[in-house]
Amino acid sequence: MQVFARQGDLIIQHTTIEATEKLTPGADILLAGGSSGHPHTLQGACKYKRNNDGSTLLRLDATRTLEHGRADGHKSVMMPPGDYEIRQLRVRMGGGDSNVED
Amino acid sequence: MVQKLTSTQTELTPEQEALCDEVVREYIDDLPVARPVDLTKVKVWLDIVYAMYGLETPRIDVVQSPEAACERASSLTGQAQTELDWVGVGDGGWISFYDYFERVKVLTHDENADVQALKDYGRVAWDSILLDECAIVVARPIALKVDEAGNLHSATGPCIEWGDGERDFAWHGTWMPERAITAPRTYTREEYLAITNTEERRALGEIAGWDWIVELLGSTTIDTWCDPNTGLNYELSRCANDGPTLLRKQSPPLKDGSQPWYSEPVHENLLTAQAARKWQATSLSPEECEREPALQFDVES
Repeated sequence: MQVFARQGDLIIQHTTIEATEKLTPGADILLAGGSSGHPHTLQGACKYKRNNDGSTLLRLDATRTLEHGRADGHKSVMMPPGDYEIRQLRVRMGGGDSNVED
Repeated sequence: MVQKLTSTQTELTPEQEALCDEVVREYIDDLPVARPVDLTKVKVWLDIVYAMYGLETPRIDVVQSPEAACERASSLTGQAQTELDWVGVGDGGWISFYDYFERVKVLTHDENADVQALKDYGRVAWDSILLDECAIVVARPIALKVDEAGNLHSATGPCIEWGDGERDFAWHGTWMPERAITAPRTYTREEYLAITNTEERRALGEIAGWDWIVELLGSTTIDTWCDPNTGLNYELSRCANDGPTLLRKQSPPLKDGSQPWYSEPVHENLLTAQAARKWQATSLSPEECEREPALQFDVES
């Protein structure tokens, strides 16, 4: 199984976003880590939709950089134009599955 | 004198590169400096902010800690206030960015005047909660400790001490409970397993020592795996007394070259470290991951 990228707890996977999905234009959107002060931020413009399970659908018309907002944090990931699904790693807590909390 | 940055430049000159480092160091070195609130500088910034909303700056209340600011705001508004405005010292990251561009003459002093006012504010105050009838301004702490990278950090006590006695604790930029810093080996097995934040769990492992954590949990390694593509190591263990199954894993090299270890609970039916890695990154069942554990990333950082 081949997956595009991982940046820390974030999995970045190529996908095809259905035409029925309503994407919102945005810029410099936060993908995770906002509460810890170590944000994973997609620099520049994109279209996106946040899903109820915590994942995000993303459409890029140009190459963008996913940055980790910490001086000694994860290295940046260059993302070419295309459709992506971004989600956090999974953990097992209390007998159920949930996203990694950071 | 650093040369002006021009629109035809595709790379910074060595002097311009050196100035980047100098500005970063200047901002990090200023963090631990305790200064009293200077109401003249505070008012310059507040006048700018309130004017954005067509308001006059109201009365200014100075408090000694974020907790005190939240209490004052809750009392004034009758609604629970748990967050500051996050305007002040915490903006150093992007203020320094604009500051740099003024120093390389891309921005004039006038163009950068509002940002400079915020910089001056952050040098004499910590943050604020701005209400229509009252501007609550938090004084800078009386002591603040950071690591070499500028992350809040103290291995022996509080990383921040506020003027009213409040204290905060952090391990290389990760907020921690006081006991995790001052008495990490007093954690019980149940307390460790109840930690939900992976960075807090990782930090406690580093503070108390991973060997001590293994002993505390009574965990037994059931499988190890080294990814031949990245050299990253993974270790699957089972805790005693029907405790959780944990995947301990090595981070890819971070920007500073370090590779911290993380320990995260995974599905109890997993048998191998490689399959556990795939289970975390997909929505497949443990059995599916065991049958086909291969998973490769184009980029892993």
